[in-house]
Amino acid sequence: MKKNAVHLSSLREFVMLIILLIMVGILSLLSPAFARLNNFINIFKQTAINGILAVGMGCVILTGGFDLSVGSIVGLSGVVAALLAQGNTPIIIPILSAIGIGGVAGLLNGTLVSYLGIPAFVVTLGTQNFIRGLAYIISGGRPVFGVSRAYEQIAGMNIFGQVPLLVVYYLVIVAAFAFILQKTVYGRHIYLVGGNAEAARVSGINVKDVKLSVYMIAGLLAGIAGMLLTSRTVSGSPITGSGYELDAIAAVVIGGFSLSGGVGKWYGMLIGALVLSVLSNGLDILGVASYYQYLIKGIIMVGAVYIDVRGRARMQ
Amino acid sequence: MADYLLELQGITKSFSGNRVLDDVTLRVLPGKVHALIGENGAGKSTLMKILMGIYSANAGNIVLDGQQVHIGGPRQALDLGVQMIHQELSPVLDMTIAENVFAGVEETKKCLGIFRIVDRKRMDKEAADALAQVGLHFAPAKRMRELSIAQMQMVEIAKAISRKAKLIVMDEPTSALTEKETDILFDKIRALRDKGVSIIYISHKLEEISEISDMVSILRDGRMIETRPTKGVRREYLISRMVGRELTNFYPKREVPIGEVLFEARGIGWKNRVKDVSFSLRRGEILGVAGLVGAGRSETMSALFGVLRRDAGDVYLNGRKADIKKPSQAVARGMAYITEDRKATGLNLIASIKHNITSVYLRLFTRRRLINEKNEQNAADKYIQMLKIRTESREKRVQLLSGGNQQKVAIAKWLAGDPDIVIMDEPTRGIDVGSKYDIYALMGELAARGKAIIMVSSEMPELMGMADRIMVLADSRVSGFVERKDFNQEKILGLQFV
Amino acid sequence: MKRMVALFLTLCLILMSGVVLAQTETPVFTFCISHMTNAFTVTAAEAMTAAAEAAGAKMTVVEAAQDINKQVSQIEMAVNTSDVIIIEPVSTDGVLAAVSAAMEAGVPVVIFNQAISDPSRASTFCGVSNADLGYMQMKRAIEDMGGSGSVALLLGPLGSDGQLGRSAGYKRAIDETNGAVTIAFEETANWTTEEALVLAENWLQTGIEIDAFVCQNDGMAMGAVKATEDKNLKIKCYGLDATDDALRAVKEGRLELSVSQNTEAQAQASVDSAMKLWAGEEVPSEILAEGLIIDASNVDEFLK
Repeated sequence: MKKNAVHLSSLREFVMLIILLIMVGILSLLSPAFARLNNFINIFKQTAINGILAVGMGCVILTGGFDLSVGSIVGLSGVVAALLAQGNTPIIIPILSAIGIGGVAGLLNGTLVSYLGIPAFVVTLGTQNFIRGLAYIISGGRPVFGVSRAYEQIAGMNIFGQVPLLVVYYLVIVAAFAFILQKTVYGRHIYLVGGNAEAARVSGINVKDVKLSVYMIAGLLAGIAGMLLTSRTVSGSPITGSGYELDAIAAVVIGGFSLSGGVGKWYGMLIGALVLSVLSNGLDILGVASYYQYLIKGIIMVGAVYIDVRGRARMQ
Repeated sequence: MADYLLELQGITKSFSGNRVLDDVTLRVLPGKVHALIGENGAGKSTLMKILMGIYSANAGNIVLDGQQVHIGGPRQALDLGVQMIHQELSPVLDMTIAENVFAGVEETKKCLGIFRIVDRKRMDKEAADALAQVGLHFAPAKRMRELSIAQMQMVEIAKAISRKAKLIVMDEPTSALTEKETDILFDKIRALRDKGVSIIYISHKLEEISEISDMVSILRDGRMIETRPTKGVRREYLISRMVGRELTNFYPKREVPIGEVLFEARGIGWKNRVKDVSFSLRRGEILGVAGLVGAGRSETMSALFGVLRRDAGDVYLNGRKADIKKPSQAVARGMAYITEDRKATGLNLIASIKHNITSVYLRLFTRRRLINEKNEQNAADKYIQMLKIRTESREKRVQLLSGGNQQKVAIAKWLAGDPDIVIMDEPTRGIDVGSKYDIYALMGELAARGKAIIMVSSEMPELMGMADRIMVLADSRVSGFVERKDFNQEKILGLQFV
Repeated sequence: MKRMVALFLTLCLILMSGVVLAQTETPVFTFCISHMTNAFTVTAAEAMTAAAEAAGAKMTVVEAAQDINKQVSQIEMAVNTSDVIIIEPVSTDGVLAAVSAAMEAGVPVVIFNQAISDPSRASTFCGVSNADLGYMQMKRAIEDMGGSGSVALLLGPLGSDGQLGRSAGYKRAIDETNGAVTIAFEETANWTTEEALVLAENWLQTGIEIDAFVCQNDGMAMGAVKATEDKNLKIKCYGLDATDDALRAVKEGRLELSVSQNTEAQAQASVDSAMKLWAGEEVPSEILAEGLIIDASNVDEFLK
């Protein structure tokens, strides 16, 4: 038969990589400011938060699930971190609290979805509201300021002169999940559960635990993202993060993930998140109004999936 | 030339340079059952898809009733009186029978003089008429979900009748039916034939072909090998024409010494579907499990393996009670379960052959707890070769394989762990003769190595050909055991009816 | 017939309860606020409650989560429970009908902070002129630049009342320079620090000269401050709203100034008007509070 049918699953990642490179090329031609090294560092910095969320979202989507609550988790963990990061409190306390909140929220989502069998869409829509509510209650509805200098350094500091720690965290997380998804038995189980949960169960895989764990991962990473965002903006606001879940979903879909599960590569999450931030960075620099940016984002997303669908149809 | 109802003349079809049909001509007489046989991948379904207008041929003509026609899609085929009943039925389960019968061609009436609305009453009435013609007396308002697969099939036939079909294509219509249901289906087919309707009947079951068909056409590798009257043709002949070689012994049963008791089930129960099932299984033994559809065969297997949580009974391994409440425990204790429905519960269709093969015993392919690419590749290549899985690459998605090759992958994934007890539920359903033979050979090989096999099957010849002993289930209970020396079709059949 | 009597009696009861309500000793006010999710609205709600308490009135605060539909329902409900309704509208047009209905039912309406598109429908408007606030802020920024230069503007959600008014003030101040001051960049950051930070980073990346970031709220100003500090640039940033955090930044010299829209004064004016309306007195149709510039010279007075 046809040789190219074999590598079908990586088609969309490939297409998006090309689109990403074309975008970078065009933007570099249009604006010399875009092509500078420090702007690329900038882009990675701006990708980091959505990128970290996309990694967690990617894991959930690989199992065929969905998590609409990550934006709210960013808000809650960010507010709590900001409240705890005042004055001379050791920064480890807000850091662990934010991550802990993410973990607990993820555990809640995972238990409801996996063990009580409530559809993920419903569960996470519910926890989205619930967690957002907690963020408002805890903060009294207002932004929290007065974050300590030390805490600000978590995301704000640069190493090797120019490289922001924020970017380092992001790349470390991507690398860790590339490793987990590619190399570990657990990672493979995520794919198997997403590909066919019933077949995975018959094969002796503990499907419920795998499903629970991916929501935990999404929660933990959202907690980390919230903590980092608080450090980056030196404040924690209860509205922060609303809509972030959709950006994360957009990133993984652009990156070639199938919403029905089982399909998607680690580099897809990276490419998808980068496509989105290159787009807004480049268009900002060119002075294109944000309204048009929404337009272009929408076209790219639907276009990416279309190319993929058509490609698959043609090869079969 | 109008003697023929349908003529497919010189049909040629290629997919990206790969010729799957080569100058195929098929002529179907009116009022005849015309069997179409061939191994999977021989081009049967492609030919039928061209007839239904799903694919268009690169060359060749379709002549219907002496008129050359162009068929642009299933809807157009339907208008010309050509209807296909697919192997995998896809009714809308939560709609009524009438709604399914009229799906896409809903009867309408005027409402308020402007709107056309669905005429439910007329649809129900006509659906009931059509159902009566196939001997079903269901309320047309009944939901599809409440029907058995056989009944759904009857509804499909009713659908064809209601649309005044001249030619009905049936693709493996009996793959999910019991013998009794098959007999009923055959009665309907004969009745249709007597009314002048032609049937193109695709099946792997050669006994059925000789029973029901008037003519038989054999396809091999995209070419039409032969068309002849069915009467008097021997099955060995058909097999040899299909595979292009003589099969010396179709059931490669090996005589192996039967060892000690390895596995025992005592009083297994699950809801109302499995009641007090007890049996034992020895090393080297192939235990056949027979029964009508709905007798609780698959449910029993699922309850043994922990896929269904049994509410009565115990499982013993090597004489010791084994705690098997979920599949992971069964796997850990050396059991394997090749399920009835490879697509729903056996395979990860969107993953590669390699990833499917290593999916059960993934830990065996790790080094320092990390998945080792080389080990995985070696294992995949080994089983592709051992089971003769036809593919150009181990990375190919399982979805793209033929049914027989998919089934081999579904089996291969269990072999890597060298399990002692292998449950195979309908291991050869809907697959081609060559693949069947390969799977039988593998079963013999496993038995010879001292493994114990449970083989659930609806095909009597297969059970009688391969099993050492047959356990018959009827109405959720064990109705009897038959030893190989006492195998007798009437006896086994008799036990299936309560 | 029986039904008619029952209907009549019910009507009487409703009317009487209205009369009883109107004659209670303590006036009951409802404050319908658009949302409670940022510093301004929270402060407004608190100031409103405190002012009412001081005046001896009962104040109920209900929030509409930015949903106009919800706010209209809340207004309709308040008509039955309150003597005066104070509304901070979600939408300047969307509340019009509900306001008229309340007025016709005899419940006076005070519009707070954001004027509705037809002010004559309500009893009075207590607020501040966004255009004046914007003008004050931009005027100072231009003075600090020495009368010429280029500015980058971080705006609220486009089309919102705050954005439109403040931008009008900016335009007035910039037009007065006869082209000496130009706008280098102008984009919405939707009141948020995160979006402002990303925009400011990307603008600074272009190398186009920016002499000042003028921001329509403090949250966005803090984003601009962060972006300039990260690049070790000394570009003055101007905020608006006088949030605690911004005032602290003014004190530390990171933020040039913030303009207070004097939320407390607006709230006080609203409650005063409500008390007068309850007592049946006349009130002017518009009461505007003065904006206040808070910079290093006076920040200590406002820092709590």
